[in-house]
Amino acid sequence: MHAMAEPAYLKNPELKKIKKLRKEASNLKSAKKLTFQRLKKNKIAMFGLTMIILLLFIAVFAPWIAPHDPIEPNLGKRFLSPCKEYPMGTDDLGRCVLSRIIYGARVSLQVSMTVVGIIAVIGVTLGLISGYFGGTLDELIMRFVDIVLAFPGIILAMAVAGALGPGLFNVMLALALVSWTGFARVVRSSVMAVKEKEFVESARALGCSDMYIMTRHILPNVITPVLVLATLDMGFIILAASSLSFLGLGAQPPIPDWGSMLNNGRAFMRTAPFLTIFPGIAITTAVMAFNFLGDGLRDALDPRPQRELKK
Amino acid sequence: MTLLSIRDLRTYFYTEDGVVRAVNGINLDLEEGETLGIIGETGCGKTMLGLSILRLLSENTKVEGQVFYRGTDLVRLSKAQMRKIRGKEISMIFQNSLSSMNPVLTVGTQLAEPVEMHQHMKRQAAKRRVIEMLKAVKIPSPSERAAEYPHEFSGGMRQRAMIAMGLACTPSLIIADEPTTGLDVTIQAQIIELMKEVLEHSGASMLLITHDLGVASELCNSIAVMYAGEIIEYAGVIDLFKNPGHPYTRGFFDSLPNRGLKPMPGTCPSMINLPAGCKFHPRCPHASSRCEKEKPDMLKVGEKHYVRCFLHD
Amino acid sequence: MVLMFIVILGVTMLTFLIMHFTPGDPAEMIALARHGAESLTPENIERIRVEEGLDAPVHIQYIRWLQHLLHGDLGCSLINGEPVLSEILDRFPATLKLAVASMFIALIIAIPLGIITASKQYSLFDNLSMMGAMVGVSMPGFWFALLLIHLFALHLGWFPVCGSGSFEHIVLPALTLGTGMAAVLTRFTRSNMLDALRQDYIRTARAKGLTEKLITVKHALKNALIPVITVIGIQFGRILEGSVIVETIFAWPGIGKLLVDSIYSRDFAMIQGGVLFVAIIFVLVNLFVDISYTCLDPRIRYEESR
Repeated sequence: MHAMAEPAYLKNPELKKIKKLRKEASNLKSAKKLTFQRLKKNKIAMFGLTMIILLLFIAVFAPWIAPHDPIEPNLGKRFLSPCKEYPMGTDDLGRCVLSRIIYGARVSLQVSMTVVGIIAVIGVTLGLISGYFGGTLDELIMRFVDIVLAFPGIILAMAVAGALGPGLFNVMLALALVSWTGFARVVRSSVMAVKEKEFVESARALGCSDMYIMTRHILPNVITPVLVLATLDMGFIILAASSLSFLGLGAQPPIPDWGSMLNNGRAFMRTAPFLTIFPGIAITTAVMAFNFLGDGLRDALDPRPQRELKK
Repeated sequence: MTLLSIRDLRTYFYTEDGVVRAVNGINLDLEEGETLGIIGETGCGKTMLGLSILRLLSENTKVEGQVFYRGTDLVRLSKAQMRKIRGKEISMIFQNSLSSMNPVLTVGTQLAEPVEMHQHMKRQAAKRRVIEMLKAVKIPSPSERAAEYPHEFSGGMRQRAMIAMGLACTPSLIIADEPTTGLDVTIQAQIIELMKEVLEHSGASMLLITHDLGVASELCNSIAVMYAGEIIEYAGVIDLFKNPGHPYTRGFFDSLPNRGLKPMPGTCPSMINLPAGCKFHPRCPHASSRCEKEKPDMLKVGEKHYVRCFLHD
Repeated sequence: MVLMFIVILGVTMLTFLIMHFTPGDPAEMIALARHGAESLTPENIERIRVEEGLDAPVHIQYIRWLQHLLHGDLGCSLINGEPVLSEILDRFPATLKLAVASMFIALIIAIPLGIITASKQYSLFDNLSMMGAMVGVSMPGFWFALLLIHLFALHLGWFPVCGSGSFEHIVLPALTLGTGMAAVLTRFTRSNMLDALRQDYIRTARAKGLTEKLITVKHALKNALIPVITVIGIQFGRILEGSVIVETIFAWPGIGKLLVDSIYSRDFAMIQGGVLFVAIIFVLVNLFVDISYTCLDPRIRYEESR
């Protein structure tokens, strides 16, 4: 932005005021910028973000990164301990554990992204409707949420997955059915908080339709807690999906999935302990990454009073 | 000996945006039985002054300078020694009585704490003392009230309870931070009456921190006006009202409803980026180029009346 | 109160509907389970369908089922014919024992740790504990169980790998569930303590000259513990969830294992009964927690009595 030529008739002190105001205006940081700055300063959150990007990279480029075929059995090389050719050893069918873990990242990310995507859409929609319209509609939706929440999540997901039969798709469906409530509640309370603010009233006074108000005015203000929840839920779904896979309800052989790898390795704990160690590390690391980022996002978005630095 | 003698007190802490200098070189003297009012706008550092004296600030806040209480420098005391002073020799009464009292403990329990701590009273004796204290601040049915919780009290009663808590161990110095703010005008008047009585009765000194000149005029012998962490005027109460010396003080008076409600332009400077020279010069109608560069000392303009302004040089 | 009944009713409806709409013909499955594959003739299946009332419309089936429910009849297992309710009640004490032991371990770790880390915020101890808690929260429970088995059962031989019956048998399963919960509770206790310590009344307490220890225990803790106790109720639900996997790994004869086994064997009556039972227990626990919250927080008590 180049400086405008100052009109000659402005006296000196007023000139100073204008210059000062202009400087202040360019210093004004938008809320979003501030949030990103705060997030960047949070080293742990950045570490989590890096790990997630790494995970994505591994998942996308799996065919190029994995040293061996994850599915093809190789009966001549069963139960090899970690060595140079097989850095994480081989399993009961002679398959490279490292390759299976790399491909397993694909499965985990696919499942969690799909599920979180679905529950975000369902939850946000229901939350918007519930919070915005209130009244009986709100009551109905909230009672439904209470009912779904009355079941301990994994148990319901297990029952549904068990009833539908094993398979990754059924697991995703079951988890989606059970986990949307978080989004609905969070969005509902955000909407109820924003609804009372003046700009919504003025929009309504201008004759904007409900749909318009909901999407253009309320939704952007509600995005922030949704983002935090979505990040944290990614980790949670990875855990839940791996639990169901561990029970045999999820990915079926030969698909490489971290949970089912652990289940598989259980039978060989005495002879090949590495089969149960590495997949667990993979799960823990992935979930931690999302938790780090989610926690960091939550802290960055939360307008806390200025923290005094340690000196 | 002066009861309280503050020399060049500076309080500051580091934040992401820079160093916040909340208190910038305060010098004060308080005699036995004297009541000093600290007047200023919100954010000028007067609460921080009170907290600095009792060292109630967090670990990251640095307090430098000297605060002599009966000859002992409080700034140099250890934590354990400081604890013996708090509540016993010097006590502080806070504003916003609802958030300043613990919601899950009864009023009686909270009132008994200072006497249990400092005078090592046992449960029964402390209970009796609590009832005495509640009577002294004119709270009806004290024994029933002592068993109630803070939110069950009305605002005025709660403030009285806070005062009672501050007086429990008959301290020599009371620091009262906006004790009447947020209360109804009629209740305010009652609290002021109560404080007058209490001060007369006990002979304690008081540091009254407030932005309300009216309250200060009723309770104080002298007044120190604070701005941007410094004292810019000090005078006896009558003198200050008759001859306010500093442009800020004058502006303060002019903004009162009964003097015309003329607002002062501008706002308190940010404690991070304090102006050079006289801290008030950006808002001062009489500012000169000297004011931008040099910081004025406290100049004597009358009997016990000092002003920090070059106008009186 | 009314709300709770509506929720429970909804729970029964949802359970019934899920089971009803699963793929597969229940009459077929019953025939298969009872008489074996040879009996799968169309006439047999039809006969069973009529016998079991499976030909009636959905809502009639639901009402009938509900009526049975109110009489305490949850049907019979498709596998061994035993009444579902008695099977569940048989197994429930074992799960309860595990739940109590796990909760005990969790509280012993979490509450002191939460208090200490809050008072010593940013210290090395705090950072290490928070890192540990983060790992605990991100770690799959079943993996931790396997690690414990590796170390304590296989290598050191201190505890049995699985089964039940003596004190040694409960240690590893309770440790697994307990530490997972401890991680969550520690973080929660810590953040509540930090909030409490930030409040104005803590400043007042300091101004009175009270010792830090007294302030932490008498003033801050009491306030911080109230939300923690409510969270414990919710955590109880997570123990039920966790017990499913832990019981399976350690062959602990509780409801969790029963549920998993019945899912493997497609014993729909048992699945239905088990899920319903767990859900209702969960609702009751939450109700209990809500009531205790009112008793603990004097502000809410005051609101209620006005």
